[in-house]
Amino acid sequence: MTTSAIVVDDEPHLVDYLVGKLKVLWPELDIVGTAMNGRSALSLAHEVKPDVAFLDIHMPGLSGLHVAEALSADIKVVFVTAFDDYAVDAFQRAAIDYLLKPVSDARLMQTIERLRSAPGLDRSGLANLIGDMSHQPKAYLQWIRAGLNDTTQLVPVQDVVYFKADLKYTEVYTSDGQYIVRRSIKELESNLDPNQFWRIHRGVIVRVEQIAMAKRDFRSRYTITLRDHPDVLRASQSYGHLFKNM
Amino acid sequence: MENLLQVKFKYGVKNRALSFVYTSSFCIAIAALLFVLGVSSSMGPTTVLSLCIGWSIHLTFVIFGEAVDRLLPPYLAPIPQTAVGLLFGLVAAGSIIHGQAFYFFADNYATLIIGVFFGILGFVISASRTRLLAAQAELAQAETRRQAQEKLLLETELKLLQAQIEPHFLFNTLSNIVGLIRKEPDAAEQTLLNLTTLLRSSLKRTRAQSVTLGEEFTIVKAYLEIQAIRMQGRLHYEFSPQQWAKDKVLSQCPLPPLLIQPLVENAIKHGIDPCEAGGNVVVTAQCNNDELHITVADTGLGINTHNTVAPAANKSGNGTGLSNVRNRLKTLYGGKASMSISDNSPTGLIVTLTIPRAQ
Repeated sequence: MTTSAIVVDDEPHLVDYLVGKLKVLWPELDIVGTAMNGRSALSLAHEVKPDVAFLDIHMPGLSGLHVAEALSADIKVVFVTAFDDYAVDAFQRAAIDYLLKPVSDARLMQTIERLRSAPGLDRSGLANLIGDMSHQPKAYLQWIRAGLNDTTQLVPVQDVVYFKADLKYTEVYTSDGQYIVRRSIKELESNLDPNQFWRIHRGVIVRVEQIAMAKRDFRSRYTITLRDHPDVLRASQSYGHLFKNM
Repeated sequence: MENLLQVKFKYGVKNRALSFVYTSSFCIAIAALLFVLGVSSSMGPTTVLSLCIGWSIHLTFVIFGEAVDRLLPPYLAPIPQTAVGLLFGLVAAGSIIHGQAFYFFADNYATLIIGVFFGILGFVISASRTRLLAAQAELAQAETRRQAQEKLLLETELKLLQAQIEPHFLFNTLSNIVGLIRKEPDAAEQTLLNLTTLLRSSLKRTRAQSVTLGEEFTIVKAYLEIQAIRMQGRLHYEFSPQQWAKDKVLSQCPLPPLLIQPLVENAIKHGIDPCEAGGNVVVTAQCNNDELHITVADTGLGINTHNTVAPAANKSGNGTGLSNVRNRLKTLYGGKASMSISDNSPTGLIVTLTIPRAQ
């Protein structure tokens, strides 16, 4: 019985190259199809039911890891990647082999030997691994679509020095500009990382690393000077605890 | 920081001793002047009076100066200090000369004139001290700012360089060359040459303060050609004006290195690559007498801020490249250069750099 395989990579020349090499080094292998992204790889695998899948890890849409997780357990997986920035050891347990591009003939030959002799692998652990890798506690706001004069600009949140409430809107101050967002400061606050932004007043949220100095006055309110902005902010009494140990 | 404090301290001590000498000489000079003009009849008591008033005003400034400065605006601060100093000086002089603390020389013009002189002196000392303090604070601040800026410049440069030849990019490009070498030797050769251009520039460019737009475009073109080989049909790109290489004014336009490529890279990495269908990148440059405008527009994913949470595809640090460029512009040009980001239609981003033309 011949072995069938699919080759998946988002870079077409790399698909061609691997297919060409496999044809030379493993003439009995029947390459039944190729795909250039995760989604079409899955539907291809579903359709042709190959014995082996060569999967690139970094692809648009679904990654090779996600594809492997969704494939049926009797398909043997070989991961192919340009750079071992993934947890190689961990994924080796779920794959027959893990190849680094560009692949040499000798290295590919080893993989072929393994594929010929190894039984199918249980990939049930992969789901947990992917889960661990992509586990994100909460995604915070990264960009703000804000107005400047009559234009709409995209302001990276990491450039914001502080936010100031202005009725229903919020003024956004960066080190080199001032923008306005049609959102209340309360709405913004719930989408900002509390480790990076502190609310210091009913109407003011400041980036923590921009606080240069907090000076206390006799009514135990704090006056805050900023690193990259000349403005001076006031923290109200109820937020004073934030600066107690500064 | 420690160095700066030491310098400030030394400067402060030297300055204080010097100003004490000035005050003393000023006192003696006034006493001499009054004697010469015939206002006072004897040099001795006038000098004692003058020194008592001068030193006590001086001392008041030294002791209470900072506290009073904090409580009162600069133009009012000298008044109470001069008044208190004057009073103490008179009491001291009275005690020494007449053995009577509250002998105020009311019948002597010299007292009045000395008082007025020292009133003026008080203002002058106070004003110069305020200026000195402000200058010192400014110096310290400028130093801190300069250090922070230098650090930021180096950091962003390093980050931009690291991003330029990313291992993923390098190894994928090499794999493509290996893949092409037999099948399409010409394309393999061209890709290898492009990679060489990029590698060479990344070694050379940190040392150069300024490159020309022509050089920078050559590098960006090499980068785009490699990406187009890798992404085969998913990436299209365009330079505008298309004859930029022949446009002498434009191609000779100087600009700092490492500004355009990060924008193009950002457009591909976060805009077009995550898009299964791919997209288009257009790099545009324009210059007039004062400014250089560079625009990188893509038709990729763009940024979704409708649902306040960033889309999964953008989570891998979209914006760090852009932020690096923004920081770099700021450290290089202060507020004179700018970067703006806006939506492209129907999808994607437009990033525009405006840089003053260095002369």
